[in-house]
Amino acid sequence: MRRVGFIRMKDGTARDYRIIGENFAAAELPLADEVLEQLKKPDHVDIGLPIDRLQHALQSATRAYRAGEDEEMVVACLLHDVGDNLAPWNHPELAAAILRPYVSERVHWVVLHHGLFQTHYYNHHFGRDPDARDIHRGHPHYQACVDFCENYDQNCFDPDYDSMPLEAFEPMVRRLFAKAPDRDLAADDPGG
Amino acid sequence: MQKVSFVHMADGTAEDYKIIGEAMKEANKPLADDVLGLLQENERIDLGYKVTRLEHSLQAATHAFRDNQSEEMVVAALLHDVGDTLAPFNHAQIAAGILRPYVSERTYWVVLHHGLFQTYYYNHHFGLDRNERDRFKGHPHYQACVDFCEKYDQNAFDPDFDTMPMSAFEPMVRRLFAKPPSFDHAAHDNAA
Repeated sequence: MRRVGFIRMKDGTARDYRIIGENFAAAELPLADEVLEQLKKPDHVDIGLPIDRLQHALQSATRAYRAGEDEEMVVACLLHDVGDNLAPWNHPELAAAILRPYVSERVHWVVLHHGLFQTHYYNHHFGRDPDARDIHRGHPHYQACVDFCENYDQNCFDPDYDSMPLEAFEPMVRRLFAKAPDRDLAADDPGG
Repeated sequence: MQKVSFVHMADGTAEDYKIIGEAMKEANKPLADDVLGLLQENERIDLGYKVTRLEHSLQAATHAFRDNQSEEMVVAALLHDVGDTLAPFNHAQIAAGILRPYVSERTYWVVLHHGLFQTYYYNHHFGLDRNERDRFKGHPHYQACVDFCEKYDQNAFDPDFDTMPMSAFEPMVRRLFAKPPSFDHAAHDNAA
């Protein structure tokens, strides 16, 4: 592997950065593998739900698939909670960031905001506002996020549902992350 | 472990959500180990720099520590690239998301934007605008992010620097993630 000459980035030459660019392009980053590995990690905390997070993810993706959603949305369903071990309090930010360069702005928005929109189902049990999601009412993707939560998230804790296996979704995950990333979007703020 | 009674979150009772709420109190216990594990995974990436990703991280943290930065900022410097394997094109969003509930809004902003601000050092070599960061000029944390990149990030690629070992920073990482998570800004979107 060719190496750069600098020890400070400010001293890097055009040649140095060409080397990094070429190494980056050749790196064949194993992104799909990394993401699937994260998905398969066991839950750190059993919070008492009827099924574990991987089963929940498979059920969510299966429901989206059977409802005829496009592949991007099916993968988004599979991965919507993927950052949970690393960000137990704000996992949608991680899932949304992982997906962002590879999905539409709409799917990114839905994943990023699903945590807030899910509070609709339980906030009142904690004395909080179940309509907290309504700060986004009028947003072009508001209804998509409501529907995602209703159809592919809040109802995906059923131990008797016949979910498809992870192997059924793996090729979809690999296809998604093999897409050319949208860097314009990626360089921006996380939104939300 | 007590289990909830619902298979649809919409049917959950106050009792169900009390079970979940109690269990969530344990949720950040394994977090430091997970984050440190993810940091180690950055070693898989070699783009031709003179130091590995992990050495770069330790060096950035060492610079921050010797510059008398707060412990929070030292840990942020250690972890600023932690999402590289999961989001090669927008890693800053991963690192920022992981840190968010445990750091100030300023530190979060700096980590979130460091990817863009770093382009100051190389964009011109690719025929791109090195001053892209200036779209944030006037933001209260603009200068903090400029300084972070200049003093702790762009200059942390030196194989001969006497970098402090991981064992020096580990207790700081554990202290940070043992803090009660803040929802003030994390929860504007999601508490789930």
